[in-house]
Amino acid sequence: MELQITNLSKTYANGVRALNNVSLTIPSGMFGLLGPNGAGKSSLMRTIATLQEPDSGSIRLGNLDVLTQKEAVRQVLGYLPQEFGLYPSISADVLLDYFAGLKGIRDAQERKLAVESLLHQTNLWAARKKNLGGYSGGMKQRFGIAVALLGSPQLIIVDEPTAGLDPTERNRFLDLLSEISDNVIVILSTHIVEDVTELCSNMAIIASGEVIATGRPTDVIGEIRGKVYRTKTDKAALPTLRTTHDVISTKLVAGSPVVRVFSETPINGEFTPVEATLEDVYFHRLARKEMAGV
Amino acid sequence: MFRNVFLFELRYRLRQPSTYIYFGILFALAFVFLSVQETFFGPSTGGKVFKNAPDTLANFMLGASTLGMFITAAIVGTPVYRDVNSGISPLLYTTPLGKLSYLSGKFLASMLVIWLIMSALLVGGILGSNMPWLDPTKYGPFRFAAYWQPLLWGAFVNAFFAGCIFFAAYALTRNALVVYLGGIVLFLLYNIAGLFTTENKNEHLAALLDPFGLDTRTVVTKYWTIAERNTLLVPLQGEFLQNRLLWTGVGLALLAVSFVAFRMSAPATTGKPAELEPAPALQQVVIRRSRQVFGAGTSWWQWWQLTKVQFLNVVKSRTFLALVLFGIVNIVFGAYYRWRNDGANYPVTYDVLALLNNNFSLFFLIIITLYAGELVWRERELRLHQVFDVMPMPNWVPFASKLAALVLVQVVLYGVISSMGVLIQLYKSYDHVQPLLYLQDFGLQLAFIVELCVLAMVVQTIANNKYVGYTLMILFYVFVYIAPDALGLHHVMLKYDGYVPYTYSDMNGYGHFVGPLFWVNLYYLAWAVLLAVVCNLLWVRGTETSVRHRGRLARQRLVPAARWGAVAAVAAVLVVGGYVFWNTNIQNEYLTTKLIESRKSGWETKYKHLARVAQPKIVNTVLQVDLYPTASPRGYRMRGALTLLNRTPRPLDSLLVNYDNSRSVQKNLTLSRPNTILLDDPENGFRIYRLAQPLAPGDSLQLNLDMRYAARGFSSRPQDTGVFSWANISPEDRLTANGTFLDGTGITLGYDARQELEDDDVRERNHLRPKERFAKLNDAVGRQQHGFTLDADYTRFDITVSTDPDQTAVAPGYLQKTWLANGRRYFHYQMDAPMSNMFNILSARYQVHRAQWRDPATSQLVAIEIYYDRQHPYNVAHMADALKQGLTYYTKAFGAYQFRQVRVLEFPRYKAFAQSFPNTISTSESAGFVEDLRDPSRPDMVYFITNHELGHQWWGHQVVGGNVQGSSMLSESLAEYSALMTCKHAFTGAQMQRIMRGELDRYLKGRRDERKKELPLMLVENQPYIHYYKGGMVFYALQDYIGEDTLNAAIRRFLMANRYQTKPYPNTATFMAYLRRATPDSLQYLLHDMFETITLFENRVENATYTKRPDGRYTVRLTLEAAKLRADSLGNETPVKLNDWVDVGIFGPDKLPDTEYYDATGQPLYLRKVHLTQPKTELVVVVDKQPTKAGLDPYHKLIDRHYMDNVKAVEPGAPPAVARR
Repeated sequence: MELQITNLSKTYANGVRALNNVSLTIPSGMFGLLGPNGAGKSSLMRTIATLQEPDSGSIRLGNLDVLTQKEAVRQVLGYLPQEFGLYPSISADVLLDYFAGLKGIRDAQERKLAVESLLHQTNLWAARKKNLGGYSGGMKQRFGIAVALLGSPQLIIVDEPTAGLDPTERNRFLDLLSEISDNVIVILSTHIVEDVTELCSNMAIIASGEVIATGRPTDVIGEIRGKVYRTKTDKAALPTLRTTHDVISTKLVAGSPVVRVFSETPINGEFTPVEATLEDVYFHRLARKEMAGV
Repeated sequence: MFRNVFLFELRYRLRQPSTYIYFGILFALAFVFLSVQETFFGPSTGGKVFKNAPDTLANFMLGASTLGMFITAAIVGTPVYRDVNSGISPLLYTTPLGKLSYLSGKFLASMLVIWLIMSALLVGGILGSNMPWLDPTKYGPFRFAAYWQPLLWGAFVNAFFAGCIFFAAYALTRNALVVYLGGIVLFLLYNIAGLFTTENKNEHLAALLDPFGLDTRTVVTKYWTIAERNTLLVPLQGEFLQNRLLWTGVGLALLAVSFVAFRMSAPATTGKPAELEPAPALQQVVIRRSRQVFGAGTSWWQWWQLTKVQFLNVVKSRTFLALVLFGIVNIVFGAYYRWRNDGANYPVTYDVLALLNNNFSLFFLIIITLYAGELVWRERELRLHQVFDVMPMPNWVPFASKLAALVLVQVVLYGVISSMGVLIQLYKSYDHVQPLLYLQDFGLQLAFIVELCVLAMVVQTIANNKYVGYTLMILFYVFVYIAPDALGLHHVMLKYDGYVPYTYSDMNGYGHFVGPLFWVNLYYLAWAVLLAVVCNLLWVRGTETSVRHRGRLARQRLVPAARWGAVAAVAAVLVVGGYVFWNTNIQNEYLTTKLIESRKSGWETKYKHLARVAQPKIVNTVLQVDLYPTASPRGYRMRGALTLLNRTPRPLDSLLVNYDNSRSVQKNLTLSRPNTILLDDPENGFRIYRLAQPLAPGDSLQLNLDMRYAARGFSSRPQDTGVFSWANISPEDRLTANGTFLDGTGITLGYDARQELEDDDVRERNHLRPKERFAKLNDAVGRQQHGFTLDADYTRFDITVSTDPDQTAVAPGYLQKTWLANGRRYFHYQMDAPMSNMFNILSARYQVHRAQWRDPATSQLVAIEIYYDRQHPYNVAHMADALKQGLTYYTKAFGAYQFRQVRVLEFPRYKAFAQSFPNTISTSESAGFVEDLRDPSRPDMVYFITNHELGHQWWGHQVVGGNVQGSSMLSESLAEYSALMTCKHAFTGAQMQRIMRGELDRYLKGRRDERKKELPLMLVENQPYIHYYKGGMVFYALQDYIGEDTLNAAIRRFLMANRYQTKPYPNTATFMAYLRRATPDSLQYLLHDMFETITLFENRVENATYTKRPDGRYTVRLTLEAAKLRADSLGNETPVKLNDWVDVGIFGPDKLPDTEYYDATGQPLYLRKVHLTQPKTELVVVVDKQPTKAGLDPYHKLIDRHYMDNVKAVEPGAPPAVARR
């Protein structure tokens, strides 16, 4: 099964152009959606998750038209929004059971097993009798994940799922995702490049509502492989460096800036060639996009 | 800091369109109220009260600001909530912003905005009252103070303390619903305060308790005359000031508490924080693939699961429990007061249901409106909607489950209040609880509730903004419940969910109301289905809210099922609506107020010139009436002949006949002499015959009639007012399955000016000149006419009635014969004494209680018969006893009873009167048959009403005034007096005091609502507050002054001289001559004060002290204030010279436990009439026992607007100084 997004556009009432002619093909497996805040990731994911209407374009999931056959899509959908609340005075197992019912798991025994299994998986078993109002951010997030995984979703959309999780939980969750992503489409939006590098077989970078890169992470990196250089500089020299070089990113290492630049041609001097990372691609593309936009 | 918050909040509000919408709504309300003719805001306006009268404006401002409470809640209740909900509060709370600056900035800015919004009342009002098209005679001079004062102490104060409460409610609880709970508590207090006003002694409490000040105004101004209402500003002093201060204080106190308790931190979470546990080592990941089942079965199952969850969510919340508790408190108070009144009924089930519905209907509206918003917005407010909305359930599942939950909540509420009803009945030791009736009522209410629930959900869905949704619902309530008729929504089909009034009667059950109730409910249920489909199409699922996309989604959702649902609903609306329309507009004539008015005015314009065309009189009525009460259709046939005699000195050549213009009545009228029909106007039911040979003086002819009535479906029943109301039942509706109470033939002769439009406002809008209500006291033509029946003097009467075999039919006269024929029972009645041409025909499955009474003077036997429904045996024997005592008193005091029989008959409570026909008194089932007489301390209203009606056998049936002013004194005041005298001898002093207090109170309140002019008693123009209540007061006082026997003897002489007097009929001047002869010279002034003028007293005990004398007796010193006033027809008062005898009393300790401070029930130690001439009189009296209270006119015999200061406690005083002065 494959998710086919064609020429998707969306402008909000306040004039913000959230999606601009987005076309993507997303196969089974983990798909990383990378982009800065406000790039349109959530808009795109909500649209795929049947929650929002595009102004134009189409989305197909296998044989299904996502925009018109919402009901059928929802039957195979697992969705974790970026931000959500929960009924404060209900316990986790009760609410999960309730959602399991809404997911069409009608058999009580089946539902019980599903709920138990997911509470274990998300490490909420011990806290299952607690009211959700007392849950911490991370626990809430894990609960949301449990809801998204209920049933047997074929299309899982998780919007910034690792935000708010501590490193152990994050690993655990990402493992969980990759485990189930065998025959399933998992779309993972994030602004953490590592998540994508580590997990995703396919990815896209979007910014300002446009896809600025798509492909396998290695292929995407391939386009700048051998063209990234690194140097140490001091803060005073940074502005000059920006004008003379195509700066991808700067990071403070022990107080002084470490600068990575992109160059089609080899550069010498202070610069050492380095192995290109997805992060480089990401920043490089973003910078390009911004330049084009100006 | 404060400045920033304040300005930010202010700017926020001023940028919101809703602020201007609210302003616009209030502006429009005020503008319309002051510029449109038909007033829809509050009763008792118009007439001689200016549209911009200060009293009217005060009432309007208070009322409008009460309605505006929801705006206050939206503006002042939400600022802190908004910050929390938008997630900005953590940012705000961590800035150095101080709590005080934050809260006070928010509060004051919101307050300023709400005041600005409320000012729309003033702007709209002033503009509205100065429009060029207005009739200047309806408006008094413009007075700015009449607008700004009530705006300030009414609307602004209301907004202020309510704002404090709303603001504090959220700041303290962080729960938006609690804000509304605060609003409901306010309404509850208002409601309870309203109950308190039903008893004068609690008025002060009511005046304080009503948070909105509406009852306070009512209490302060309840005896205001028209003149005062037009000129006086409601003074900001006394109770009004106390009320305003009290509630401002309550508001401030709550606000202060909330400021102190508020924490600049995230809202406390419910439940203990769950401990964080370290994530265990990674296990083998096995994701369970659960089997999902989809399809219709699952959808229904999910619907039920969701319904349960949503329902439990509502009913388990503390807010809801609090609401229910308030509702119960409300009912308990309601019940307490309902059954405390004099003349209160047994808690019969229909009465209890009425109580429950009255006290809870507002709660239903509030709960449905609020919780529709809560349920529609629940997931979105929790921000769970994205998770929830992607669940694989069809669209209709979330909508339908929320709707079902909303309805279920109402069902639970209904269950709770019904149990309350049963508990009340049991508590009152009433054993005739009717569970089936509770269920039936529930069925009726359910349709109404479902319709409203659907609407509330649709409105929330379409508006897609909770507060706009609430506003729209309130507007809907205003349109449909408060002002439909003012807005021209007369027809029952134009008022979605419009309350379809019906009356349940123990005698007749739901009777023929069932049909219309069923069809109208079905019609609106079809609408509800259609709305539900629309709601489902527009249901917001996901994050898309733009109109364009919602429209697109709606088209997408228009699957065949939805389409067919909509088609079916539209078809049902058309078919059922068509059926209703066919009934109300085609089978029956659809009448509106306007139509009725224009017809009446047309009739007057066309035929007024015939008013003086002399007519023969009806001298004999012979009727054969067949009633078909349980047939389908219900109906009757009335055949017979009226003998018309020319009593004028001239031959008469034309005959003017009025007949029932209803389409359901077929009329066939013929004359016994050759004639031509000169004119026939079926629309007005008016016909002119020209006789071929004029009818010579002393000659007679016969008018033969054959009229058939067959019920044709149901009508929209506007009758006189044009309002859809079952209470205004048409003559045909007096024919019911069990409990027919027909009233005459409907045939009258001549142009009857009493049928003209009477109210001057109404006349004016129909381009008629104002008219006098009555002919002058000595009008020569009027005095030739019987005061009740212009076309007949005393007549003969013979009637045969047939009815269902299990019913008894009764009409005036004596039963000659009864027989069965053709499966029907026949009754033949004949009267052998002259009687007024007034008769009723009753038929029902009656039980009969029989007794008899013998006149001790003549040994004449009088048979007493009480016809009653078998469910109402309670007071039957008691009524018979009352009749016996009445007969004894009346025959002794006034003269013989003219009949050998007196009958009292019960009829369904579609009308709540009792009326006396010759030897036959019809009494509504709600007027005495179910009165609870178990508490012997209460005045016995059964006794009173029964004897009032018996009194009419003398006053109205032996002597009748002409068709002139004052005649209703001769019938009603004398009947009232007669009944009061029987009570005087049967009741305790305390009971009598309560009765007389009621008379005084109702008279004084009646003056407030006079629409034309108040007249002195002897010129009364059929004004109930004068002829009953002032009449009762006056005659009762007069017998106290001149002596019962003296007064009765004068009345008796009048009766003897005027019994059956016709040419001319007596008037009140005739009567006054007898009084004048019987009254000693020293008291002649009383007759002038009481009958010929409107005289009022201001009597007061200013000071009362006592000292003990050496001989063990007591010296009491009284300072008395007295003033005497004359009022004109609008209540303008002028002082007159005091030269009056007034009771002064000194009393021992009160004998009754619940005696009020302004009453004295103790043993009179001193009671004498004192001659007062000065405004202030010092009086020293020696009494034998220790005095407790002293009073000037302590028993309230004179008419005094401030009667609560007549009695004062006597305080121990300083020992007497040496001679004063």
